[in-house]
Amino acid sequence: MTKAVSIKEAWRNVYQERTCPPYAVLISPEQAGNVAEHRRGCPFCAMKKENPKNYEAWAELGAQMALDWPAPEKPAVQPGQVWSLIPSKGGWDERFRHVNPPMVLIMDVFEDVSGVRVAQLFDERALIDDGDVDLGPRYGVAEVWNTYALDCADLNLCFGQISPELLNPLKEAVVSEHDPVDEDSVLWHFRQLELEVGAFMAMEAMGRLVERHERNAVRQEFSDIPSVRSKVLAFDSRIRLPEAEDGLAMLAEAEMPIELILQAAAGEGEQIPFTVVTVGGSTNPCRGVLADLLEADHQDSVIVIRVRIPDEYSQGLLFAWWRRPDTGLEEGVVESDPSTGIFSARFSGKSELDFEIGEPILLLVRYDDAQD
Amino acid sequence: MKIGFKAWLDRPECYPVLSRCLEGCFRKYKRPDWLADGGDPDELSDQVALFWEFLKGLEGVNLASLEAVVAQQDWEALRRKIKFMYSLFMKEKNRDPLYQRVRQVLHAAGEEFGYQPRRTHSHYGAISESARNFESYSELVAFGMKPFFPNINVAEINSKDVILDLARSFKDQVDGVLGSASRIPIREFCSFIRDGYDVDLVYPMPGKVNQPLEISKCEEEYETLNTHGTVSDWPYSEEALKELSEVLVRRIEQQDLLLLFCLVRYCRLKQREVAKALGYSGPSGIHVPLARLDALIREFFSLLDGFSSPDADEGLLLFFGKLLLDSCKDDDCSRYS
Repeated sequence: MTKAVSIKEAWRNVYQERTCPPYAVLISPEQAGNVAEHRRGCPFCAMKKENPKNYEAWAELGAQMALDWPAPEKPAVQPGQVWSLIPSKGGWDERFRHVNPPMVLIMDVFEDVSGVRVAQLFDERALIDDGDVDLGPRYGVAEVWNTYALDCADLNLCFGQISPELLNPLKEAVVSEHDPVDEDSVLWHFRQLELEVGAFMAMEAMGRLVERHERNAVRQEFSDIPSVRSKVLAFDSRIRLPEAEDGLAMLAEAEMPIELILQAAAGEGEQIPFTVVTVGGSTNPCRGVLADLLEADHQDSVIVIRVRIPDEYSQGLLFAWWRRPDTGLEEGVVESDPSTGIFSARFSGKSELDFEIGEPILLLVRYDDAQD
Repeated sequence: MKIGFKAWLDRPECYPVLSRCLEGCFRKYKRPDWLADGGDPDELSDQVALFWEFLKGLEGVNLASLEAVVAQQDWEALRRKIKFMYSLFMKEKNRDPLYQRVRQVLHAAGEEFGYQPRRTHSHYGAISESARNFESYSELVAFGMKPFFPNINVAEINSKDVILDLARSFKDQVDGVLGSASRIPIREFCSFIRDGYDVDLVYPMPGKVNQPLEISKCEEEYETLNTHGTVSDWPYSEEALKELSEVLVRRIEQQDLLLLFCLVRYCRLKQREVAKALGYSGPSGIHVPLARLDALIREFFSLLDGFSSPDADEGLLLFFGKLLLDSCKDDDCSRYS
């Protein structure tokens, strides 16, 4: 910013930027307890006098400032872009610090899992040391020593793009060695915090990226239809497999002999039968299982269903299609919460008629070394 | 109608908004004695004028992270960011107390003196766009100008009337030499004053300031610091240190590490006794919590001036360490020893 900043002033500023709660959290009644705990132990918030803050005035000032800025965009993700992250990436750590999402520089894009590798950015040049690359006054400084993978869905708004001439040496710098900073120095504490913030952001995305990676692996495996068919039939030749262009869809519509269908205790609400296939062995064992349909909703041409899968299968990868008797299967996007065994699937571009005459079709794939 | 930020800043509507942004934050600034005379301009309006001057100067700043906090409507982050940038701006401004005082008086003097805040430095004199910009006092002297210094009492150099008399005289001289009404940088006017009068007694040169300038402490997080008189030359008052120690104790308490802290640092129990008191089967059980406690304290210290390298002050740390131990109870020592 300017040369007038001492290293500790800069560190204090970054510390607050990274760990003091944002406006939306400060005013949220549900967060009041956490905010109060934060204020008790934060050397900055605790020392502030309780002056009324005229946030309306700051909002007005911010709105006026924004008039001179180009509106931020959400372009296709490319290396070299500088993005903010979605606010929901932030959250409390076990020390009542509100870890706030940093600005990031896109280093690589992984299209197969819809992910990116990013370098974390900071503004305070007084904290620059070995391994940092100054991107100029607009974007701040890239922490080449602090890069990690994120989900593309974590990216919020794009504020510009650095030139390839700047990006390429930066990518090379990632792999080179950096001098460690002196332990317990201001820089050391700053870098510890930056790594913690990075880990907080990355951990939250990791599950999704790994799941997508596994899904891709499963798709790859199921692309060889004759092999899938023979492995399923090798397990039980009575299973009836329809003709299909896609091994996953073929299994989703498989008809099981009655002996392979697990009869679950009758649930309260509607239940839908689905196939569980276990891969990883010489055959592909299949079962017919029942899921509880918790919700099926059609709004703004999107159908959303929520299902609960029996506990023993909740670690698997769920695939979901919407099937119309006349037009066949169309795959949806599945999200899971492994802790509860509840999965949701979204099918976009669906009409009221689709919703009325169609039905969800599920397939659960699990890897198992021990064959059942 | 939306008119753009720069245009908005040139309209009177911006004044109440800027004023409300500053409310409650700048009341604390007490001017040093040598800056206060009976004719002080209204404090808040002067602060707003400075804030406005700062915002005018933001023109060239296009910080992506600033745009991001506005896009996310995080007004707390915007407030913190702007205040931090503003505090640096103020720090620069306050380096030279003579400049600060002259600027303040000219700002309060009204249209007659044509005070004009600018990004790098403020001006006075001619206000029309086409007016000539006067560049440098020393250059003018080098080219043969013979400055005339009105007869004044140097001890009264901080009074409003003297400053305005000098400003008028200097402007007349500059206009005379350049042959037209000019816009004069206040900095150059200060050079003129320093050239003609021995003002160092009243306005020490930057770097020679003995008494701490309260006005220069405008980092907001230190609002309560330095307002109760300091212990020797520490950057904190005793009261502020006490408050800080209470914050750190609460931070330790929140992690359930306070008893550990007291047993080790206050009661000075052996590791074996501490481990037993806390229910660990062996002395090694407390290694992890001890490391967490240590990290917590070190991080806290790293943030504060005087508490850690590069400016650690042993006396301050000793004093603060005693304050921390105030939170420990003798009962705990006897109970667990």
